Amino acid sequence: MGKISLEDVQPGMILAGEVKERGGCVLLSAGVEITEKHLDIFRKWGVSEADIQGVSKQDVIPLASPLLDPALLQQAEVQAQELFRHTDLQHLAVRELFRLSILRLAQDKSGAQDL
Amino acid sequence: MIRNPRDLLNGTVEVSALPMIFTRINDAVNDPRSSIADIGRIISEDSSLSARLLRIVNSVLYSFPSKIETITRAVTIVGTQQLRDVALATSVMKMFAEMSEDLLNMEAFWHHSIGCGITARILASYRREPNVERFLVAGMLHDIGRLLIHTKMADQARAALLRCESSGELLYKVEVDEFGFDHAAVGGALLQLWKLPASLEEVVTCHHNPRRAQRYAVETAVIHVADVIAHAMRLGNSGERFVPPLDSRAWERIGIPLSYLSETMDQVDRQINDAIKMIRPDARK
Repeated sequence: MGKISLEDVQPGMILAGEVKERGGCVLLSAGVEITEKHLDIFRKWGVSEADIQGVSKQDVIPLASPLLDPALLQQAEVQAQELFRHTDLQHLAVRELFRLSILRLAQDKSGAQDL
Repeated sequence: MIRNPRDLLNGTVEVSALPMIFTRINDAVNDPRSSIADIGRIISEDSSLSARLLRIVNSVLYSFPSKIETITRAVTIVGTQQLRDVALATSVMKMFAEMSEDLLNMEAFWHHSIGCGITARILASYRREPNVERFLVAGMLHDIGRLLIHTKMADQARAALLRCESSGELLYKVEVDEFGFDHAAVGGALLQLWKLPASLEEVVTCHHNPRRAQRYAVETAVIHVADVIAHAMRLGNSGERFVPPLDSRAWERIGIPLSYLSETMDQVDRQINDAIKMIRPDARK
């Protein structure tokens, strides 16, 4: 399943694991339904991710890239491949940077197109 | 013939000494008998430095609720070591302000350096590191060796860039191959010559090889990762065209959750333009 970014957590979702602040104190335990107030507290405590029942990282990725032209995304991916050619894309952090880089490149392109 | 980084430093009159004002601030910060007012007075003697520092502490980097009007107040709120570090960063940029732009666009170079600095500062804040300003400075200076290479051995620097252009190799590896040392080693030697803190020197020297860092492994790992992020965001241009490889041990060491990477980029986006305007001394004047 894995944790998803706090930006993608919505009120009404159910926690699959406890949420801890950076110091390790538990803010909310598993099984609780998340409210807007909880999200506010998470943000204040610097929580950046949560483990949600029935939602995995793959489910939320499309949400994070709203309405980008698939052709632009493809061009962006080719460019990012070149940019990342000396890195190990098997590494999780590199893969996340690669994904973010593609989104940024595609957004730049779509911004340039609108102008 | 230049065989090691030290040869580059010989006879570099223009870079052999940091501005006097910085040395005096540094001495005052390190002297337990000097007060905040003393340090404020030394900074105030240099009006352009004071103006720059006030702009920086009033920028989005700090977002204090009210405007800071005087240097003494800035020293009190930001802290003496922190303000010294920011003063250092702007002094160094000023020294290289007049460099030839034939090979390296200075605007793009500082964009990358400041980008790496604020990324490192954001990662350090997440880790709740004390004095996050040292991370900003280390990030800003991590590629400083390149400026020296471009000043002192322009032809060889050009050859290295061209070779990367056609072969698609990493510049820092080509540097080692062509010169016998890379920009990280040159930067470290320069910081040592300037008698800057050993932590800064180690971070700069080891930023492509974080496993070699012995005393400041965390600091080095933060700058290493920040550099990778800055490249992935394509912030400015340091001469290197590719994202450098990420050292897995450095990544584990700093303990940043994967999901925080996108948040980090968002924060960098929010801060970078303001930071460049504030930190670059009298850009475009």
